[in-house]
Amino acid sequence: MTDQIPYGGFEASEFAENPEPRVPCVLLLDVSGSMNGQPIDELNSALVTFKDTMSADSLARKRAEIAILEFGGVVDLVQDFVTAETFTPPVLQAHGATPMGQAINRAIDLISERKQIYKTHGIAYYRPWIFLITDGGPTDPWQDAANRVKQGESDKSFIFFAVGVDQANMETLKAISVRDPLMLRGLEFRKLFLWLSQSMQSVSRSSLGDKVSLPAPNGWNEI
Amino acid sequence: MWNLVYASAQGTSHLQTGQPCQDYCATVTTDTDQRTVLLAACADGAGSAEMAEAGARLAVDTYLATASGAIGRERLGPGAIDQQILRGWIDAARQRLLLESESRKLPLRQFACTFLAAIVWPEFAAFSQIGDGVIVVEDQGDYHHVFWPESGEYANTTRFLTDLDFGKYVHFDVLYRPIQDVAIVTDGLQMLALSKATGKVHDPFFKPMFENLRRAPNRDILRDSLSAFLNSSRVNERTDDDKTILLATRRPLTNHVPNGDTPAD
Repeated sequence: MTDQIPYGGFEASEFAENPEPRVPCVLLLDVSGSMNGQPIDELNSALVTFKDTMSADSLARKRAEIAILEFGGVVDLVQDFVTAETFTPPVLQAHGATPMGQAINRAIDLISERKQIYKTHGIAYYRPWIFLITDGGPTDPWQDAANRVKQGESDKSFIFFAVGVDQANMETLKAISVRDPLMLRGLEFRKLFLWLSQSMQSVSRSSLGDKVSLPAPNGWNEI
Repeated sequence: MWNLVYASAQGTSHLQTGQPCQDYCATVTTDTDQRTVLLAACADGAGSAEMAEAGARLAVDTYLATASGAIGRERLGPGAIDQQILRGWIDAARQRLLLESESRKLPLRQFACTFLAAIVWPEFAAFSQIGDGVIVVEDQGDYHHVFWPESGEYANTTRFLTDLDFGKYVHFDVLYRPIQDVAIVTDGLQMLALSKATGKVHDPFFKPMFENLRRAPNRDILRDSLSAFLNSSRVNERTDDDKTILLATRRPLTNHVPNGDTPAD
C-alpha cells in the first residue's frame, strides 16, 4: 500500500499555525448630503463588488482588513477592521455636511491603534492604506489633518490616496494628499473598487522584501 | 560524513508573474587533516530586483569559494574564527555583487538578496545572516533558531546584502559545540517553520524531515521528494513565495527500511 509515497516522508512535517500577515485599509467615505441619490447607490453597490472580488482571492480574503469611516454631518465608524472574508458591506445613507478634516484625523488614529493590536499579538502587517473618496470639500478645519497626512507619508506610516467625485474640491485634495488625487470618471465606483481590490490583492501577494507595483488606475479616472 | 539534501521551488506568485525562482542554495565540504567541514549558504533574491536571481547565485558561490578556500588553506581552528574573519567572507560576496553591478552598469540594488550561511566544523560551527529566512540547529533533540529573522516594520520589507548600511544588520555567531543537524530555510517557508507567537522554531516541522533524511536510502529520490513536497498544494496554500530548504545531518543513517524498499549501498 505504501509503495509510492508522493513526498517520500516529507509530508509528515506539521506546519506552524501562524496568523496571516495583514493589509489594513481604511475606507474614508464621504456620505454628505450631496452624495444623495445615484452617487450613494453606486457607492453602495461598489462596496458589494469590492467584498466579492476580495473574498474570491485566497490570500486577500485572509490578509486584507477593511475598516469604513463615513463622514456626513458626523464622523462615524461604520465598520471596524475585519478581514475581507468576514466583511459585510454596509448600506450607507447620505446626510449632512462634510467634516473631512475630522474624518482624516480619525482614520490616522484608527491606523495607529490597529498597528498596536498587531504588535501586541505578534501579527505581521503591510503598510496600511487610507483611501478617501469625496464629492465635495471639507466643511471643517483640515490643515492639521493635512499636516498629519504629510508626516505619516514621510514616515512611511501609511499610504494616503484621495479620489474626487463630480464637484469635489480638487485643489483642497491636492493640499491634503501627498500623492496626486485622482478624479473619478462619472460614477464609476465599481471600477474604482475593482482597482482597489486588485491593488490590495497584489500587496497581499507580495513577499517579504518586495516593493509592490500597483496596477495603473484604469478606466475609472479622468485623465 | 554529512548526509544532506536541499531543494528550491518557484513561488506560485512568481509563476503567475513569470518571474524565475530567485532563491539559490549550495554546499561545499572540505577535508583537511581528516576533519570534514560543511559549508552551506542560501540567498533569497528580492522580487523587486531585476538581477535578483544572478545576485543570489553570485553571493552564495563567491562566499562558499572564499570561505572554503581559506578554511582548506589555513586550517582554521575554533580560536581563529571570529567576527572579523566571518565578516571578511561576507564582504567578499558583497564585493562580487558590486563588481557585477559595475561591469553591467546597473545599480547594486538590482542584485539585492538576503544571505544565510552555516559553516560546521567537527567541534564547533559559525553562522552569518542578513535579512530574513532562518538557520536552525539541533540541540539535545530540539531545534533552535540561530538568529530570529529580521524584517522592517512591514511584512514586505527586509534587509539585503546590497543595502548601503548592510554592516549594521548582518549577524554573526559561533557555537562552540558539535552540531549534528543544521537546516536553512528562506523566508518563503518561515511561516511554516517558525511559530511567531512563541518566538521559537516549530519542532514538528523539522523533526520528521531530519528523520526522513537519516533513513533515506537514495539522495536523488530524497531530493525529488523534497522538491515535490515544496511544490505540493499543502505548502502552496500557506505561501506563494519562492522557497528553499536545506537539511544536513551527520548522525548515522538509521536502519529503518520501509516495506518493499531495499537498503542502499
